[in-house]
Amino acid sequence: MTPVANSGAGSAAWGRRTFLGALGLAVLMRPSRADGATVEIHQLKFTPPEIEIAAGSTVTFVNLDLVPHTATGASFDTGTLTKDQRKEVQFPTAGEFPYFCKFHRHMTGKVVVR
Amino acid sequence: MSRKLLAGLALAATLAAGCAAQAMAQDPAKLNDLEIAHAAYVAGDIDIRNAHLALALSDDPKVREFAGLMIRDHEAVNQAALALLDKLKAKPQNNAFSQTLLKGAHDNLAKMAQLSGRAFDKSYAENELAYHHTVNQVVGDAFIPNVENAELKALLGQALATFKAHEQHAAEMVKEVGS
Repeated sequence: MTPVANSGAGSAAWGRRTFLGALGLAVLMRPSRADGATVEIHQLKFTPPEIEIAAGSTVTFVNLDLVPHTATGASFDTGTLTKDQRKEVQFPTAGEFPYFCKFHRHMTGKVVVR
Repeated sequence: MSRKLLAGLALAATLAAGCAAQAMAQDPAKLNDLEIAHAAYVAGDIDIRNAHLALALSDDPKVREFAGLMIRDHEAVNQAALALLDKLKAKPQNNAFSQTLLKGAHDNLAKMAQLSGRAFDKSYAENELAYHHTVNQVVGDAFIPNVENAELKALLGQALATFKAHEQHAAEMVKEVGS
C-alpha cells in the first residue's frame, strides 16, 4: 500500500497542509497583482513618470483627467482612455519601454522591466 | 488696477476690440458661480468652433492635429461641466461677459473664414495662442478665486491645467507654422 493510497485522517491532514503550503509558496513566488504597478494620468502628467517592474508584471494606466489620453509605446498602446478608465498592460520581457500620449505630445513616461 | 481687472481687459481687447465697453459692463471677477459656468462653457465652445473651421480650411498636419485636440479636449471638459451642473441641479446663467465672448468669437471666425492656405494657418495658430493665454488668465485670476462651489472650483482647476498645456502647444504651433 503506498502512502498516497492511505486514506487515514492523519494522511489527509498532512496532504492538506502540504497542498496549502505549496499553494502559499506558489502565491509568494508568482508575480502577483501586487508586483504590478499603477501609473496615474493626472494634470496632463504620467505619475510616476518612470517605473521599474519585474518581467511578466503588469502596469495599470488609469486616467484621472477630464480629457482623454493614451499611453502609447513602440510595442503597446492603451488606446483612448477617458476619465476614470483604466487599462492593464503586461510586460513579459526585460527592457526599457518609453511611451507618450498621442494627444498631448509633451506627456511622456517610461516603463523599465528587469 | 487689479490683476483680475487686467485679465478682463486683456480678454476684451483680444476677443472683441470693438466691444470693450460692453465687456467691462460685467467684470469676470464679479460673476456668480452659474455665470462663471456659462462663460467657461462658452469659451470652450468657441474654441471647438474655431477648430472645426481649421479642419475645414487647413491642410497643414500640425494645424489639423491641434484642431483635433481642441475638439476632443474642450468637448470632454464641457461634458464634465454639464454633468456637474446636472448633478447640482443647476442651470448655467447667460450673462454679458459670455455674450461679449460670443460676439468677439463670431467676428473673429468670420475674418478667419475669409483666409486660406498659409495665411489661415498663421492666423489660426496666432489666434489660438492669444485666446488660450487670455482665457487662462481669466480662469486662473478671476474665475477660480471667486467661484464658491468646491466641485466647480476643482473642475476649473483641472480644466486650467489642460488649457495651459494647450497654450504651450499653441506656442509651438505658431513657431512651426510660421517657419
